[in-house]
Order: sequence, then structure tokens, then C-alpha cells
Amino acid sequence: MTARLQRLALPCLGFAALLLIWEVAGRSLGPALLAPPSIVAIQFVELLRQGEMLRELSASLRQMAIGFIAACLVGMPLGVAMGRSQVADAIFRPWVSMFVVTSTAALIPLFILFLGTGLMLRVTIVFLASVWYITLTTYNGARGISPQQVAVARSFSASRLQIFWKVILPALYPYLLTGARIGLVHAIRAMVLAEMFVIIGYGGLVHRSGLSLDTAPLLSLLITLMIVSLALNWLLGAAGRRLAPWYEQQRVGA
Amino acid sequence: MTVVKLDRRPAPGAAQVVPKLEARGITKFYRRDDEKLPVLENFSLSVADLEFLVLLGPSGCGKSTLLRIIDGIEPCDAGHIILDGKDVTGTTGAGRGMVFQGFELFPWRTVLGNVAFGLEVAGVGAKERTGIARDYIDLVGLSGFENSYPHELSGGMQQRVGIARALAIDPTVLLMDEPYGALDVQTRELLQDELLNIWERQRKTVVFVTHSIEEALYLADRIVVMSPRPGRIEQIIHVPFARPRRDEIKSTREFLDLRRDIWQSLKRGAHV
Repeated sequence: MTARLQRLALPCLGFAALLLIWEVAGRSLGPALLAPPSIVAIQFVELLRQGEMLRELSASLRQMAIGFIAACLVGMPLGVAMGRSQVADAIFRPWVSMFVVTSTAALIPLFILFLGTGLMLRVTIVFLASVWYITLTTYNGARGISPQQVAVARSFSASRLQIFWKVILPALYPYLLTGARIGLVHAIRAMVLAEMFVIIGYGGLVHRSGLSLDTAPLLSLLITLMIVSLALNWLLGAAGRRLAPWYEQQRVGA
Repeated sequence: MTVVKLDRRPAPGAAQVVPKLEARGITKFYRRDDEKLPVLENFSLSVADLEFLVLLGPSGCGKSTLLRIIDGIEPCDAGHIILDGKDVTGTTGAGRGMVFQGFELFPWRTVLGNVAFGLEVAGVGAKERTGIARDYIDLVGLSGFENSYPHELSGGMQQRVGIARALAIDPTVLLMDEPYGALDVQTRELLQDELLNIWERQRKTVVFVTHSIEEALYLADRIVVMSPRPGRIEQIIHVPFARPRRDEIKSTREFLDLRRDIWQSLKRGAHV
């Protein structure tokens, strides 16, 4: 009971302390530099009521989803191929290693030249920002699949195709899910970043708010984005647990 | 090689004529860098039909490797595995079922799904394989756990699933690779009794790998004592105890004498 109380109480306490510090700092600095949470809360409700914030966010997220799903569709098979085939590993790993360390922000000006400022730009940036994380997580999972479990399947005379569908894929499942969750975080960040460059969608809204003399709307937008990102990430995790009840007990990296 | 002639089986000579399973001149190297380390060199062994054979030896004597070569999941550098008169070297199936040391259940499958795995990959229909799997789950005493996942079971229960999974394909040869090595002593002894019970009812040829002398003496018709680097036969022992065997035999004079003999033979092998 006390352990449970601690688990709940301590994060709440930390959260309350943060709000308190923010409130004190905000009141002394003024809303032009840092709006205190009491003012941001009012602004937040106002922005929710106006509806533009959520409208823009949902439109942006829909476009983000295209890039993110494409990244999953490319990254997951690529990661499996690299993890299970030395040839694929040798061909693709240098590229993946290079791209994963490249700043997405630095690529945006280049891609504006190629793709303009429309849907294709945002989808491409989101794709490039998330696909490598999805690939690498899947790759590590595919490399780490227990040879013993593959041996069990072979012992029962499973074909290569059966081994893939009945052993490798299920064994990869936790990694696919983790890859998707890491990828999603990067996808949402990249979405806002790309939109800020071309001042469109939710990122555009953030950009415009940043120019005003009141930080309350900007902070409201950031908090909304944070909540939605966390919620999507949690949703993906919950969906994963529902699909695979054994997942929680599986240690990624085992 | 010392052969202790204490025979329970009526005609081991006759059984040798048509062995159920034969390893002929098995040679296996492990390659480390450019070095070739021999694990098994020209190793031969035959197993009679319905025999309970135990391969006993210290780690590194190649007993597990031999078992995996017999099962066909590990290639060998030379030699042949003959099962029912047919060369099955390097192939799996054909009546062989394997129980693994670390259980190696699939964590994403329920008990039922794990036990039905072999039937599933063999193309047995869903309804039929579920029925068969349920029978074997019942046989190993896990009725009521059909829908549990491996992580919800104790080690002993997990290995019961491993045994049911191997038995479900109705193999004629059951290969067991230190199946109880990861279990505590009480659970191990319980499972040994269960295994003897099942074996007496199901009538299968068993090749059982262990490094426990007591386990070997309690279970085996014949013990092949192996010594390491490269793995070779140190001694073959025909175990004299009548079946069904009960725990009490472990404190008999004969049991203890044999245990000491084997222990000495293992020590001899280790010093070579």
C-alpha cells in the first residue's frame, strides 16, 4: 500500500514542484518572457474553445501518419533483411549509419528545393526522420533472435518460410513495437520542424505564436503537442500489449 | 574400454543386429579462427529399439553435440546417422523428437500452441492438432494450463510442456538434451519419475544426455560414459535394476557401487 502510494505520490509531487517553480519564475519574468501556468491554463482553454489549435494539429498528424507508416513499411523489412542476411547488412548498414546521425533539420532546406513546400516535403521529412530508428531497432532484434529457438523449429522440420512466420516474426514483435514507438516520437518532432520551416500546419502555428509578445499561446501549443505525443506513444504501447499478452514479460535485448 | 556386463534386457545381442539408431564414424570440428578443435572423432554408437540410452559425461565431451547431430539440427564433418536402416544424416524429423536443455518454448505461444507446434508445421489441421496436443498436455499433467503462457509457468512445468511438445509428433526416438539440468533437485526427481512412467506407457527409444551419474543410473538401460576432447566412449554400462524403478533403489548397495565405478571412470577420462 505504501509502495503504491509512493509510486503515485512521488511523480505528482515532482510535477507540483515543477508547476510551482514555473509559476514563481513566470510571475517574476512576466508573460512576454515566460507565462506562468495559471495564465497558460486560461489560454489553453481559450485555444481549445477556438478550435484552430486542434484542427491544425489533427491535420498535421494525418500527414505525419503517412510518412510514419511509410517509414514502418520500409524500415521494418529493411531491418529484418539486414539482421538476417549478411549481404543485406553489408550493403545497407553504411547508409543507415550515415543517415541516422544526420540532422533532419539540416536536410529540410535541401528537400524544399526538390519537393517544394507541400505535402510531399512533410511526408518525406517525417519519413527520413523516423525510418532509420525503426530500421536499427528491428535490425538489433533480428540479429538477437535466439539460434536455439530457430533450432527448435528446425528440429520439428519447419520450412524456412515457416521459421520466418512462426519464429522470427513473433520473436521480433517486441522490437517492431519498440521501433515503432521510437520512430513515432521522431516522426512527430520532424513534423513540427518541417512545418516551422515552411510556416504551415501546427508547426506554422507554433512559429507564428513564437513571434508574438505573449508566451502563453506558444506554451499552450507546446503542452498540447506534448500531451498528444505521449498519448499516441502510450496508445501504441497499449495496443501492443493487447495484441501480445506475453510482451510485458519479454525483455527486449534478452 | 571396460564393459560391465550386468544385463536386464533379454537379448542385447539380437538388438545389436538391427539397431534402431546408429551413429557411424561421426566427426565434428569446431572452428575457431583457423584452428580446428575436434569435438567428436570417428564416434560410433548404436541404440536398440525401445532402449533407454543415457549419454553421460562432463561438459565438453560432445554429448550434446552428438545429440544435435543425431537430431539433424547440427551438421557433422564426417559420418552418418542411420535411423531404421535409412541414412538421415543432416536431416530432421523421420521419427525424431527433441527436448531441449533450456526448455526453449516459444514465449508468444500458449501451452497448447507450443505443444501443437510440431503438428502445425507438419500441416495437421487445427482441430486435429488441438485434440492431440490436449492429450499430451494431459499426459504430462498440465490439464488446465492449456491457455497459459510459458512465463506464467514454473521451470518444471515449462519442461513438461517441452516434453509434451516433443511427444506430440509421436516420435519413435525421443532425444533429450540435459532436459532437467536447469531444474532444482526435487523437481528433477519428480520429472524423472514422470518420464519413466510415460516411457513405460508410450514405448519409445530414448537417447538422454546428462552429466548426473544418479540420473543416468536411475533412468538408463545402458549408460555410455564419455570423456572429453575429443569425445569418445570411456565405458558402457548395462544398468541392472528392474523396472518399474522406484526412488528406493538409489540407496541400494548396487546403485552406490555402480555410482562409484562410474565416478572413477569419469575421473580417469578427465585426466587423459
